[in-house]
Amino acid sequence: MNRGIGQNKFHRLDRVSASDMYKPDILHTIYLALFKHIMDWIEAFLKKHGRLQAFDEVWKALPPYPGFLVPKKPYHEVTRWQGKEMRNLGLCILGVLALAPRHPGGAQAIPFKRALRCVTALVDFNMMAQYRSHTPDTIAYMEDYLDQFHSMKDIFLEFGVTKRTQAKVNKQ
Amino acid sequence: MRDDAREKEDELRMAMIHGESYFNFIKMHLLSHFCDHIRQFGNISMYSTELGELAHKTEIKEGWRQSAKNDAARQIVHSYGHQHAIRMRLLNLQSLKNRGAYLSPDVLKHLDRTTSTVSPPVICRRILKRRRSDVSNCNMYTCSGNGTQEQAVQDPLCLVDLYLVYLI
Repeated sequence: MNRGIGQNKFHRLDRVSASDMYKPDILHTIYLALFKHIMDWIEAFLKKHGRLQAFDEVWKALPPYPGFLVPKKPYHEVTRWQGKEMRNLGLCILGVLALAPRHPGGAQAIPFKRALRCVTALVDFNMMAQYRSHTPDTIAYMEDYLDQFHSMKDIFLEFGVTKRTQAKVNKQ
Repeated sequence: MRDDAREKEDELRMAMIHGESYFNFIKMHLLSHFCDHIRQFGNISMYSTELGELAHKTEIKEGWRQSAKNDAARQIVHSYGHQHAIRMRLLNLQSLKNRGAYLSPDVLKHLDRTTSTVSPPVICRRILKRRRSDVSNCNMYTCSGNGTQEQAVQDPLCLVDLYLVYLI
């Protein structure tokens, strides 16, 4: 389960610190990876609470706005996502998710609240990462959002099940 | 009774899923470097990844093909330096030619080939590499006329070129 960090080719080069070579990449870390993961989790989460239908309805009813592309298909029907579409998704996901459980029951209210806060933190982090300039305050905000995201993400833990885990659980 | 057993099983399942699942993947961790990066280098620009993806083809794959397949990583890193040096050298030769310096005919031939067509400069690289002694003797840069030998040595372009040739 826990694969250690291996040594790659860069570790053996002189005057190169492999761990410092990472350059933040919003497209590949946020749009194409984390947004995708979180959408998978949200789908599973909504399915568990029986709100997928409501989610799709809100998704389809999104009005056009300058700089925002209206999604044509429901979320789960799109098979391939481009960075631009994921960027669009980042703009609207919060509203859609907030509207999906329009009247959450007593038992649902708490998990929905937590899920919403988790997504909020990630979206805020993403928005702030795109700022053209930063002050110590904005960086502090970013760190806060990241902490919040990490502390809230446990709500989605059960939906990030890998196939290996699934097989293991089924066997028992 | 049956429901109870089932509920218990479900609970066990859930506990197991919770125990086995994890958020241990690299993209989750990479976010924590964003803030440090901003502190060190300023804002994160929205750049295109096209350049890096292309570089994989030209710099890594071609470097690998040219390597001896033994300790290839080092050779791949060096091969980019070689390519760069050769490109600089070709440009230097071109500019010398434009200034009217005398270049031996076979060098000219290959120079024309690289500038006129888009063919990979592998062959001419080999030929130019063989002429390393030319550069150190400054034969290549002697212009027609008297006292040009000194001029060639003092030419900054020539010095850069000499340095690059030692890199190869």
